[in-house]
Amino acid sequence: MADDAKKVMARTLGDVLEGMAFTFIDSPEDADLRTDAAEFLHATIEFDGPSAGKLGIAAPQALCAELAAGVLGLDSDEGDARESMSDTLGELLNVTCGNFTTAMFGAEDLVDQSIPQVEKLDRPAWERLRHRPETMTFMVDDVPLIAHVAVKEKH
Amino acid sequence: MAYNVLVVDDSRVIRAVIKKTLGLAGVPINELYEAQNGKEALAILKDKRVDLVFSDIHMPEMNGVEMIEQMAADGVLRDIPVIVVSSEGSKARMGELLEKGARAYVRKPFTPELIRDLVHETMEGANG
Repeated sequence: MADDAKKVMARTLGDVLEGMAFTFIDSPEDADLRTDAAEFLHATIEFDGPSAGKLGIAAPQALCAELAAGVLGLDSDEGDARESMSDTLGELLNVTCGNFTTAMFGAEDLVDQSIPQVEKLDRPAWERLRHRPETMTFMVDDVPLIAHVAVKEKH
Repeated sequence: MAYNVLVVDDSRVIRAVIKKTLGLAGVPINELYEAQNGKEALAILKDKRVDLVFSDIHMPEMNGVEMIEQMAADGVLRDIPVIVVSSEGSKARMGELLEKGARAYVRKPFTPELIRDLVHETMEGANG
């Protein structure tokens, strides 16, 4: 289940970033995940349906501004893109969650989603998140982005 | 005919995306109003002439389901078509919303072509 969930999360996140932010994620095995960034954003969302669980994505703030610019059709250094990066990361995860749960559990059952929560991370918190077993790492325009997924089966 | 459109979503980003997509889709817009939740939306609907509503489901204060229920219970507002915009894909949720009075349901992410077709179908149904 955990491996399936990771594969579905990776595929869904890639589709959502392509469809909404017009950007592509890559997961090369030799990816250089080091970054000079000092500030990061981390979005999380919970779902409850046939199974329950939690999804998250995190990225350096500069990448979050680029994603916001892609979604809004702006330049990443425009004020609106920087002001919207937190909201954008939460919405990208919200859409990813809806598509993830449908792909994992089908469309028959009702799945409730929480409102996405977005927090700032400093570098030590980013490094801790990066090394958790449920975390996956990707590259977007040579900048690391991480995602995590946890699914609890109901009996 | 240009439409007066109300976009209801607690996310400023999604409101901007819908606005941008309507432009790319070539949907003629006269006025575009924005609300952050169902309560704000109902206040606008009672004050302005609105032809079409795009609404999210999960919003603080008043969610999209309650807003649609209140519109359906109002003799004037019940005729204004609501297109629900959500990331959720459950058939049960879609069925619930359509039963309560929503005219259509579109999942995020969406394309300008999908929005154009949906507006065309919805407004044709509303005027026909």
